Order: sequence, then C-alpha cells, then structure tokens
Amino acid sequence: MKGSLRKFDTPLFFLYIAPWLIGFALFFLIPFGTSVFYAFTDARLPGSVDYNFVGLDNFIDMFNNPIFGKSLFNTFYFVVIGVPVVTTGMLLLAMLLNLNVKGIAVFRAFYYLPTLVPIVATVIIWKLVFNSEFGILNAVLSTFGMAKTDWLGGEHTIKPVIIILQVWISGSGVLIFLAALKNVPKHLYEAAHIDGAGRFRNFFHITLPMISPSILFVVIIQTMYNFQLFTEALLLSRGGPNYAAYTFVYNIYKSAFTDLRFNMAMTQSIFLFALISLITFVLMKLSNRFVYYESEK
Amino acid sequence: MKTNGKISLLALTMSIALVAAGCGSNNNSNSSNNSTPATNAGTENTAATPAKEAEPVTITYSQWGTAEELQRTQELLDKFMAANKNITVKMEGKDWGSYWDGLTANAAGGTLPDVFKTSFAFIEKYAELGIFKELDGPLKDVGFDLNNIDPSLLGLHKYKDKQVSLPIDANVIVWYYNKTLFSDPKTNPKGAKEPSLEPTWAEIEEIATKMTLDKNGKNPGEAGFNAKNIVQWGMSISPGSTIDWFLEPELWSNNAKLVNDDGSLALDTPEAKEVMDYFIDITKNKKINTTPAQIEGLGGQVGLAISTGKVAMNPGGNWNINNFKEAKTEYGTTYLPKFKETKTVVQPAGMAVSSSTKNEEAAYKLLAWLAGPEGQTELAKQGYSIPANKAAADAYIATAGEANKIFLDAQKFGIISPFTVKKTDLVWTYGEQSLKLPLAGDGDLEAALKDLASKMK
Repeated sequence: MKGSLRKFDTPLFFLYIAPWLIGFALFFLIPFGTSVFYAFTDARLPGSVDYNFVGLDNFIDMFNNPIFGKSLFNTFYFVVIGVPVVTTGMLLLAMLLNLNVKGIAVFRAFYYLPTLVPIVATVIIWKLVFNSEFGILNAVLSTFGMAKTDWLGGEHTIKPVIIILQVWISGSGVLIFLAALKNVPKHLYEAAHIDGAGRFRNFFHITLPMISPSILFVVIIQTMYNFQLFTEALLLSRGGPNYAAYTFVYNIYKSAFTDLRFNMAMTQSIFLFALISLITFVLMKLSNRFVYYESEK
Repeated sequence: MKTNGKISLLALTMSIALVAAGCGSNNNSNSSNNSTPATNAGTENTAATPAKEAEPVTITYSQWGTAEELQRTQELLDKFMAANKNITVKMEGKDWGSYWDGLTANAAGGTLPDVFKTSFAFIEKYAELGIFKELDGPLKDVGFDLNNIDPSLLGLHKYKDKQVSLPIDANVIVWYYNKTLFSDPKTNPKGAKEPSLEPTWAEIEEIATKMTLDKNGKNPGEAGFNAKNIVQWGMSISPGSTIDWFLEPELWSNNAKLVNDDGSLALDTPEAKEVMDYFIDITKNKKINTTPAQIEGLGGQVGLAISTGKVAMNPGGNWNINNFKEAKTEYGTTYLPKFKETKTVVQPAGMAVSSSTKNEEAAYKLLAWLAGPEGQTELAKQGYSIPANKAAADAYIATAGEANKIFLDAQKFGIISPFTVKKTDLVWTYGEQSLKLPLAGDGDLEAALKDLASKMK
C-alpha cells in the first residue's frame, strides 16, 4: 500500500509542480540560456540568424567602457551605502510603530500607504519635493536662511535623494520587521529586566538577535533591489547629471534600447546575475555567524 | 487515500485543460472579431500573401505622438481605408520615448508593424539592424513621383544610397515668444519690443534682459536685482540637452560644426567655443536664461517654456504650436537667433515598410498614399504638420494661414547634417550627460568636452 502510494505520488508531484516548471523554463531557463548564447556573439538583435561568435570580446568591451565602470560604481554606492541606510530606517520605523500608543494602527497604515502608490507616481512627487526652484524642501530650507540646492541636478546630491526615496517606500520591509518584533518573546525582556539590563542592552542582546533572520531577509531583498535599481534613476534624472545616477540596469537598458546592442546588454545582464548570486551566497554564508535561528536551538 | 489522489489528479488535469481551452477560445475569438491590433493581424494575413486587390487584408501601422496627433493620423487612415476598401489599417500609437523602445523590442521579437513612422535621426542606426524594406524598386513600380520631395529630405531617409523611408513631414525649428508677456506692462515694464523676423543674438539678449524680472520687478544689471528670486525669465534654452535641434544650428550659424566629417567631435574650434561660452555667459552671469533645474521646475520642456507664462522666448519645433494652442498661449514666431548667419534644422519624419512584412502590396499602398499628393494634402489640410511633398504646400498655406508660412520659409535655412551612428550616439547617449550642466555654467566645460571626445572615439 505504502509502495504504491509513492509510485503514484511521484507523477502527481511533477504534475502539481508542472505549471511552475513550465513557467520557470519559459521565463527563466530559456531566456537565460539565450542570453548566455548571444553574449558570445556579435548579434545586435536576439533572434538574428546572421551572427558570428566573438568569444569574450563583449566582456572585454564591457570592462573597457568607462560608462560601465561608472554604472558599477554607482550601483555599489547604492548597495554599500543605500542598503544599510534603508534597512536601518526600516528598523527604526518598525520600532516606532511597535510602541503601544493610542492610534498606532493609524500610524502603521500611514507609513505603509506610500508603498501602495506606484513607483512612477512616487518619483514624480519627489521630483516636485526636490526641485531646486519650486520644490517644497528648498522652500522650507530657505525659511532658515539656507541657500537653494539643486538636489536633482547635483552630482553629489542625486544619489542621496534616491536613497531617501527608497526609505519613503520601505513599507514592506517595515512590516516584516514589525512582525518580527511582535514575535520576540516578552519573557526574555522580563528576565533581562530582572537582571538589570537597560534598553540598549535589551536591543543589542535580545531584539537584534531575535529578529536577525528578518534582517538577513530584508538585507538580501534590498541588495537585490539596489543592484537592479532602474526606475528611480530613469525618472528622477535620466541617469544624470554626468552619469551620477547611471545605475547598472540603466546602462543595460541603454545598451539594448538606445545603442541597439542586445548582445552587450545580455553580456552585462549575465555579469549582474553572477554578481548578485555571488553576493547573496556570501551573505548567506556570513549569516551563519550573525543570524540566530531559535528553532534550530 | 488512493482514491483521493486520483480525484486530485483528475481535478488538476481538468483545471489545466480548462485553462488551455480558455486560452484557445480567447485566441479564436480574437481572430474572428478582428479586434486585436498588431500581432493577430500579422498572423491573420500570413496566408494572404501576396495580398490581392479584392481580398481583404489587415495591416498594422505604428507611430509616436500625443493623443491629438494620433487622432489626426487616425483620420488620415480612415480616409485611406475609405479609398482602399479591402485594406484595414490598425494603428498603434505611443509617445516618443516608448515608441523607440517598442520598435526596438518589436525588431528583437520579430513583430514589427507593417508600416511605421521613422525619424531621420535614427535611419542609419535602425537600418543597420535590417528592419527596413528598400523602397526604390517598389516605389518605381507604383509610379511614385519622388520629384515632389526635396532631395535633401529624401537624402536623410536613405541608407547606403537606398531609399529606406519616405519623408512625410518637414518639421522645422524656430524661435517662439509669448505675445501676452510682451503686451502686458506688468510683465514687460521696460517695454521690450517683440523680436524681429531674423534676430541676432545681440537683439535677443537685449530683449531677454528687459523681460527678465525678479520679484521686485528689477532686471539683470539693475542695482538691487535679486538673481535668487527671478519670477520671469527672458528666455529658456538648454543647449546641452537639445544638441541636435538647437546647439547644432547655432554652431553652424557661427561657422562651426558639431561633428567633423570623420565623425569626431568638432567642438574644439574657436568658433564653437565662442558659441558655447556665449550660452554659458547668458545663463550663469547675465541670468537671462533658465538653468536646467529651473527648466525642470517649469515642466521640463524647453520647447514649451513660454506656455508657462514665466518665460518670454524659447526655441521649438513647428509641432509645438499644438501645445501652445491647447495652453491658450498667444505666440509669435521668428527664425532662430543668429551669430553670423540664420540657420535651423529641418527634421523630416518619415514612413518605412518593415522588412518582415507579409503584406507588401498593402503596405506599399499605404506608404505611397501617406507620402504622396493625396495623403499629404489631407495632412496639410489638418494644418498641423508641414507636408514634405511639395504637391501639398498650397493646401498647407490655405489651412494654416500666412502666419504659419514661416515654417515653410524657414526650411531654406536648414543645415545639411545627416545623422550617422556616431552622431546619434553623441546626441542621444553621451552628449546630454556630459554637456547639460557645463553649458549652463555649472561644471568644467573643458573637462566635459575632453571626456566627450574620448567617448566619441
């Protein structure tokens, strides 16, 4: 009876998983394989029949292109500076929203609302906020006697603006942290209180370790998001000024749709895929040392 | 347990079958009611090749434009379909930016529309992808008279001496001013005169100085002028982000060039530097021109700045009159201001037939109609676009009026500067990033030019 069930379960398993498998093959495996193929050719359009294999030429071209270097630098800026800033911002907001004060549910709803607004609309709103001439921010700053700043047109200000925008739309991460904070057992704090622990000690020795799996999850998601940052760079300043917001994915888009070199875009995409995979792998490996899984203890 | 498993299996199989059937039925209904545009039309007509006169055929046509422009094109297509009962044309319209992304994606996916709009600036770049049909033979076959179209316009739609696209309009760049600002003493307290038909930059600078006002009504150069609180600007230009349609003709106006014959950057000559330094000076020092940040705050479009009511003059294309009419802006027009000679850019949009079309005969018919006397006269009668076909010139004047005759007259000042792949890269890929801020006086121009020249190599 048991044996026959297993026999029956195996095809059933594959049948149940078939929709996903088909989707995975159609929308990932085949396009990925095609991209790898064309990355080693001079075909400017996918589907071209008239092409030559060029070996590693596209990869060499990619590394020799100064714009590639700039876009990689900008992307690392967002990953190295943006991810910690945004994650910290999410955690601080979650801790605020975890307080037991009157009307906290309303605050939680308000902080989540920006996440529901489409990113294009959000970017347009922030363009108005940061506009140097007519923006609200400069208007407020000028009341304190501060000079107008060209936030969107400055090479040194555009990247921080994009990071601030990410904090604004960080509602999903805040929810994840909030759920994690709610799950920290109260008795741990009570025991720590009896032992004389203060707020900071509680935070660093109880809260942070207990929510560390959520932190890892958010950091990985944020890292991938920042490696693929595109919409904000495109809509806020079209990658400018002087390539200051030219992100890696924006460069891929320009290679394909402006330079009409899909082979180069595919080369860059493969490089990005390898980069994200490597960094995610490193993060996962490092997580063994920093992440506390209560269920495994 | 075993029974439950079988039931699950059956249920899943039925669900998949149902979904598959649903998809199938959708496809069927789409093809039968003929309501889907591009892709279905292409599939539907595969069997109809070659299209015969009497056999009904559906072709796709794609172009960029605003909602109003697309509506006007639909009116033209309706007239074409009325004259060619067996041909149905499905139009796909997009805005300028997404149009090119869409066309590229279509080329990549093998789903190009049968006939589509082209820009002279992208002919070489897209021709290299092999997306155009060569038109010389087919046009000869249908007896299309190319003599009615200016050779310079035809030349801009050739690739390797082969006609791959036919010009359909001859858009031209002129200088606009807001008549209301000039006539109102509140916005023109110094009584600046409207610019002359063929103004020099000295004249424009004088007018712009008078028309630039701070919040206390003072002009630049006056004692107490507050440059941080300008409420009205004399002009709005952004040479670094309008390289192809403003900076280049101005360079020519001063006997300079944008690119050399070998495709390298030509901005290192004294004449070119004189032009660039002048634009920096009027923006950074004289404060009579908007900065890029101010342009963003005014809506982000240099060509429409006068419609905000805060700018007296700006360069723009003939198509901008639609926007001014919609914004109820009373506008006046002159030729572009000159350094030494008046120059402008003629930007002919065109029509091309996809190299992969399965409906050649119908596609050529549509192309020949839109670019020929009949379609061009209908286009001219709408009064918005300047027809490229001379056979329709009278119809344009009759509709658009003498006031808009300047758009036809300005064409004699058009520079002959074809778009090569290198020039397209300069204008659309590298130029704006490098020059937008330096040409407004923000950043090191020399370093930007050096950087740009190296990228052009």
